[in-house]
Amino acid sequence: MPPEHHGQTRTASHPRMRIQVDTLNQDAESHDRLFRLWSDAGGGDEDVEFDFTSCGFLKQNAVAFLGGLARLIEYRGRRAEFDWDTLDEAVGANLAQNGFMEAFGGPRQAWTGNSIPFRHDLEQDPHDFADYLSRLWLGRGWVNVSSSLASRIIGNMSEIYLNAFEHGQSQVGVFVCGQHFPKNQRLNLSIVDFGVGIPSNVRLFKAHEFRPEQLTASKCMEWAFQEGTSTKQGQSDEPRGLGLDLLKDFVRLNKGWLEMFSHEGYAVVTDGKIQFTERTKFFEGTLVNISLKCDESHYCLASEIDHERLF
Amino acid sequence: MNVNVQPLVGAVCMTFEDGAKLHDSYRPAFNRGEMVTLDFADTRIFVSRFFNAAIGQLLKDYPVDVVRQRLQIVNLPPAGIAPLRNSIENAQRYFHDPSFQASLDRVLEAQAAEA
Repeated sequence: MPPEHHGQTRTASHPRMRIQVDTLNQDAESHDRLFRLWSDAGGGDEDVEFDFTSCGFLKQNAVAFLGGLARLIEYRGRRAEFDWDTLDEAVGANLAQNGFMEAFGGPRQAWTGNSIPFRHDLEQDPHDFADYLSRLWLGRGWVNVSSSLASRIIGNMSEIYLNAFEHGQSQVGVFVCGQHFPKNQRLNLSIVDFGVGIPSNVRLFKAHEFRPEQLTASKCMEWAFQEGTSTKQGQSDEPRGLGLDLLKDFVRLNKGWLEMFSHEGYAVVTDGKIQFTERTKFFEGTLVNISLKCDESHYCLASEIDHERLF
Repeated sequence: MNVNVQPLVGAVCMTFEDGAKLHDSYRPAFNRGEMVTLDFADTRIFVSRFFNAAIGQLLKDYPVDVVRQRLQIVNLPPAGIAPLRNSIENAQRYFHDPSFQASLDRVLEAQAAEA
């Protein structure tokens, strides 16, 4: 069921903007296109209609992002619609299968396939999110991991999910979508929020130590990934961490792949290394893509275990 | 004192609220100087913020050596080890590094003002 929105109340009709959604994969250029959609459609005072005429493929990152962008537009008091008639057959099947179409009033209902359903949480529901990951992402038999490692993966993804709410301050919540790619044996998941972004929090945190020009977005993300750092403390006496250092270690240990976009900052963890880059396209929120290799032999948990002392 | 975690919060240890519930269940005994054992049998999913509330806040009032001596953790599945360590390290830094704490408080204040 679509969540309720508590943004501005839509009043009179607005002029309409028709925006082309191109083929959106998971490469740098596709993310530039996604963020251009955000800057073109997110602001202003026009209703938006998304046209898929030139779209040949939408990966799970684009599905999560487009859903979030539509809800953001609605939150800002405008109308966001998808022209379902312009969909390529395969793209339409994908958007129907993962429940995106159903979530936005489209003509077809979701069914079980290779997608992990599109999900929108206006408020955090960590137990339900863990159940979603357990049943619909890792529990489909696509990846052969032990129950112990599955628990670790779900815990790490839940860190990202909760960070999006607690650090991101997203007014429209968090959007998730996943996909299984049998040919290249990959299991992907994307999580996006439309909040203030990681660099915004880090700049506040480091304001007394660095000049603003020193705190580039990529530098802020580098700092956020450092072990033991945090940008937010709890409601009373509980310290909070970003959990990004855990993610980094997890991906390194398990030969996975993770990338994160926030403002102009870009972080990618792959092959045991983490790299930070300053991009030209700005996106105010945070988008995380993670990819797991569907092969038990690639997964390792034992190396993290130190029985001598827990802490 | 022995506390069985699973009957108290369930198998999924993710939220501040559940962590605080665990913390509150043993804190009086810990404050009296008793040995406390937290038994994590039959738990399976862990997020560091659970441990922040459940254990990390002890470090506000006690040095880590005292916590190690008087708080025993048993049957913690491997998936919980990294989040627990991360939480303890963060808590030590937060409660014992004034500049770090001041920076965090500044972020909190700014975020509260924006909310």
